[in-house]
Amino acid sequence: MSQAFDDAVLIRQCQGGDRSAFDALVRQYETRAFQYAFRLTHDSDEAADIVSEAFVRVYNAIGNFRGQSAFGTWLYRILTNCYLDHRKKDKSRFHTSLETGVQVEGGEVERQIEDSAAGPGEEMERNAREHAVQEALDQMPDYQKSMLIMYHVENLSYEEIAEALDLPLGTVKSRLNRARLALRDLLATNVELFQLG
Amino acid sequence: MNVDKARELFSEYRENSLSPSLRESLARALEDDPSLARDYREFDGLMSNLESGASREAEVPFDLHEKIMARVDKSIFETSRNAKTGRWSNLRLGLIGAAACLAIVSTVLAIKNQGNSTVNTGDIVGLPSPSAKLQITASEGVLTLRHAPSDSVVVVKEEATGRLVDKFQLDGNGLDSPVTNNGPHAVVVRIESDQETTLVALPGTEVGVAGDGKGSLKDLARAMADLYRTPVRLGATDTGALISWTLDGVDPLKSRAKEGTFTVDRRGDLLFLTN
Repeated sequence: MSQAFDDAVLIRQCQGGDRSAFDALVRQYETRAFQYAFRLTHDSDEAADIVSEAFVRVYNAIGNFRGQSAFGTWLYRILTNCYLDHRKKDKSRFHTSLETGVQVEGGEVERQIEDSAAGPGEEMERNAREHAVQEALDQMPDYQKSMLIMYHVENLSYEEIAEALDLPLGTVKSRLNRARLALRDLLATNVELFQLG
Repeated sequence: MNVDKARELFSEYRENSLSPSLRESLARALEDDPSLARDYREFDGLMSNLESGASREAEVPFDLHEKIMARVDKSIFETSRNAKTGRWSNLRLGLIGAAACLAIVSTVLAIKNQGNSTVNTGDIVGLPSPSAKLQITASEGVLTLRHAPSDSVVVVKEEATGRLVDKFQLDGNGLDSPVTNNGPHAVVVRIESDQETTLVALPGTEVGVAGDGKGSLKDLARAMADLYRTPVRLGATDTGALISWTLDGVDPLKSRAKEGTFTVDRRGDLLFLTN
């Protein structure tokens, strides 16, 4: 069975008031939703908040979901809106850096991010690049940032982004192009990190 | 191809979605301009770096699912509670409305059964003292009687005909009662309570005209009520004396006496007319 078919069955059951179907739908998408929210916020708690709020909105609106787009695309739309609402509510929010430690019982430990093995030099260089990109992304307007992450990190197509953000395809392409160039300009002082060959 | 135009095409060049001619043109520009070629390498490197982030995933909180479902449950509970509160509020308002209607109906029935025997007539008094038991106010052209609990009966009669307009049997309960005139022209009513008797001109449904007039103080009160769309309370001992006046239709306080004397005052929306 395809993902779309599975989703359609679960959604129909949710629309009929089946709570366990909604639970299954959440389990299906929560990790992906969290990764997207975390990439936008770099904050585990805020990402979990955004994902929870997004699923509340999904629960309240699922009766109106007609399957005109994939459920995943619809969820991206809701997540993006929740993220933008969060930012609007709290513009001055402190953003946790990936370098910030995590408080656990017995003290503070370094934030752990799953990674494939790499040599120390390579690892350091990659960390420097990612840090620079994250800082630049954080300086960009929220909608540009979410578009860049949807396309380049979440691997959504232009069409899916257009559906998720309810924008014409051409607008998505041109805005993404502007966002990429803006990101490159923001990283002008670190460009040597990104030169290939 | 200039540098700005070339930069605009970087995305499509990287995704191989340019038309063959544009692609060829940009490729030539990149070959000819080392600075532009460096720009493109940086751009490509940056995009690759961004995309490599997809393989690095953040640790998902172990209780994420529970947190989501708890939030959903809370939302369901709050929605349900608000709906119940809303229904209860409506029900409560309905009950209060029904109780008020019942009280009014009971009062009317009591009046009908009792007749007019309890009406006391007396002299019209001047402007009320602050301690007056019956407060007479006006808002947006509507006269309101605020009965004090100490009043037992308040009667409203048409002054010219003596016709009973309204009667309130209070039995120790305070009450706010609007009194309106649905006729086309203003009428003067006599409001009689245990404490005092007052004359008030109530505006009719038709708007009066500005200009000169002649008659009694009651006639002037009616003319002003219709013209300025607000009740006019008469605070005079001699309301029958003949006078003549000029009303400008804009400011009642600028009404002028051509013959005789009168004074106009305003308290809230209520006009006071004395001589």
